[in-house]
Amino acid sequence: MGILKHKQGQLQVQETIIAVFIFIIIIIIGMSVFFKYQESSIQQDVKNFRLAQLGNSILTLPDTSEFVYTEDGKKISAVDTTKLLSLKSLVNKKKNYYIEKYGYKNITIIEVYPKPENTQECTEGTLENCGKWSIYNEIPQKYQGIQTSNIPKLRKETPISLYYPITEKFTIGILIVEEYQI
Amino acid sequence: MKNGQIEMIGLVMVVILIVISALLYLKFGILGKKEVKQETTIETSYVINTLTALTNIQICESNPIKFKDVVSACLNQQNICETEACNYLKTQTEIIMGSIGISNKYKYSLFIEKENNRIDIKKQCDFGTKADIKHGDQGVGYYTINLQIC
Repeated sequence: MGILKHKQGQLQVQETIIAVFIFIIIIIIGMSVFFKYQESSIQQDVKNFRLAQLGNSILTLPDTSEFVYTEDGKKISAVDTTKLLSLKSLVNKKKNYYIEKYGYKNITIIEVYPKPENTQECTEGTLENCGKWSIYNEIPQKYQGIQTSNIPKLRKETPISLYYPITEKFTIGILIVEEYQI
Repeated sequence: MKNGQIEMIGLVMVVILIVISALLYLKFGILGKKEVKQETTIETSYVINTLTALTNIQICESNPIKFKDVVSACLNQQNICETEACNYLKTQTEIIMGSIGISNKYKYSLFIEKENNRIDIKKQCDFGTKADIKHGDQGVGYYTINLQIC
């Protein structure tokens, strides 16, 4: 009689263990599904946040002292092309400062109206006959050696007014800011 | 399994279902509301930048004149580049907007307002993100150049 009771007790304990085990498995599966969903949702939120940040930077960039054309100290809503030349050389000289300021980005301006005869890179020597300003491009270490078009990035662009102080002419360019995904 | 155990598991499952429903409500009901303000700001800035770039440039190769001055000529029914100013403005706007690429992304309206007079250079939108720039002086009067995208 004592042995039978003991065996029944063991059976009940085993039943409880199995029930608890199945219950825990269900909870783990549920939680992992929930967290997996949450993870992808958070990743999407991060992407949206970075896109919004990029939107902010494209709003403010043409108005910063490195870009904006000023007349008697007064800001005019246009980008000074002579400043772009200076910025291009400054970016190489003070690399660390600009990495801290702009981060891992590619900042380019392409002239669209009037359509330039030549789409070559704008430098001091080609200023009269050029159509592209590659101002800043800092690629993260892990993408070094990979073709730029293959690197995952977020992109925003806006039309801007370009001013040429030498000829005193305005043209239209497209400011393109691409942020490399780290 | 005993009745008590089954009841307990049932109860816990109900609690879990309630918690999951509450989390889902939190996610979609409260946190899920999209923030559209940011996108509107960026779009507004896009329109302002386009309009500024547009008004700054010079058109008419033979006798370069600022876009905003062509607008003024259009209001005064004058000729520019041997063409009626408003018609010239329409063709040039098409070309410039095409170059910028705005026509591929949005529909747009460009119109001039002076007092109660409105001249449509291009009309594709009734509603949308709009920017305007005021020009002119006390002598000839003030006019507003409006750009709207949708």
